[in-house]
Amino acid sequence: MNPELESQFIKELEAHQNIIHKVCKAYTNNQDDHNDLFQEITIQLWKAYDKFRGESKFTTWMYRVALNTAISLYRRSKRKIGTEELFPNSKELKFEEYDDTTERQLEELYKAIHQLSDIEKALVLLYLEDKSYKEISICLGITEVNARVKMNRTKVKLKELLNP
Amino acid sequence: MDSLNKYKTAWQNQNIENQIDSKSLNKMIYKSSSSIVKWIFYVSLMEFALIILMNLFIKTDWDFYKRYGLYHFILIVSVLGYLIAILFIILFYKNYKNISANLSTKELMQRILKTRKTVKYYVATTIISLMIAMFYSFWVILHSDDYEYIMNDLGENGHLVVWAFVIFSILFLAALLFGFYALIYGLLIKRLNKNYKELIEDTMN
Repeated sequence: MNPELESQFIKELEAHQNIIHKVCKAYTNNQDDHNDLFQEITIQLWKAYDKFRGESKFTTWMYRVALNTAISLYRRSKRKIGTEELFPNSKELKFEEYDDTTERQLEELYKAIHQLSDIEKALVLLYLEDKSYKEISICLGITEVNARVKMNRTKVKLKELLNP
Repeated sequence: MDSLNKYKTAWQNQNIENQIDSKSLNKMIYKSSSSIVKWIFYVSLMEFALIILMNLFIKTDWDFYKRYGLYHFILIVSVLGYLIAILFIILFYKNYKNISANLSTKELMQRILKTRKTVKYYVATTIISLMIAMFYSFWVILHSDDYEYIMNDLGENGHLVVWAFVIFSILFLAALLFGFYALIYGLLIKRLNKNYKELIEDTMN
């Protein structure tokens, strides 16, 4: 691929890397796996970038590729060597400190998300990002009606997990 | 107000303290992928190679086959085997090239599973044709002049024991091959299969 495209991609990736971190945090339980999945998503995004036509927002497209990688492509891996140099601060990689309430809410939310299935996690993440049912249905490849049914069920489950 | 709204707000405002810099991201995009698709691709290629190697090394005693009039039969089976392998490799590669994380989740899963199915059909075709070829070869050999008098001496019960042994051996070999295959892919695509079933479950109702 041409260098211009590469630098454009890196710029967008750097600006929106929080999306990947959120997906990684939802789908993994430790820092090693987080780094590993982050790397795999980045590779898949780059491989798919020349097919990104701008029909959807870059962030929506990023979510799709990241979720696809986490759900279908990522193999909980044995690649423990080699990611450290790419994550210089990974030992201290953490979410910004907020006031107590926000921090507690995020903690509760991630704890609940970890108890959901892979598909439910995808639905919750797209819901939390305020994606429309149309966008969710396109991303997952299901009908809008189906997306609504699944989403309602998942939201009920999430509420129960958050307020047992 | 939806009780999830406060969580949604917290979610949307979260940020990562230690961002990864562009230099590290640039290095990262050139790292080798370790995706499940790549593993399926390697394992499938190994399967093709293994079966082709088995054909090359096992069926070399042409004099033996000539002696029992099986020469043409084994020759046709071997040529057909290679043609089938080439056909399946082309189909497999075409399916593999169609896989991209750019697709919808459902379509991506379908394409990965289709790739697997192609290799599954190849393995099934190979094992079934191997079973038929083995059974036919045993049939011809045990009815040849060399063995017919031995078989006649064994009587009806002896006959049954020999054929039961032949069938058991063929089935045992097939079960072993299928078992090995199921173990590898069972482990590899277990999670993918589960996720696919969950994603499509309501569309089936």
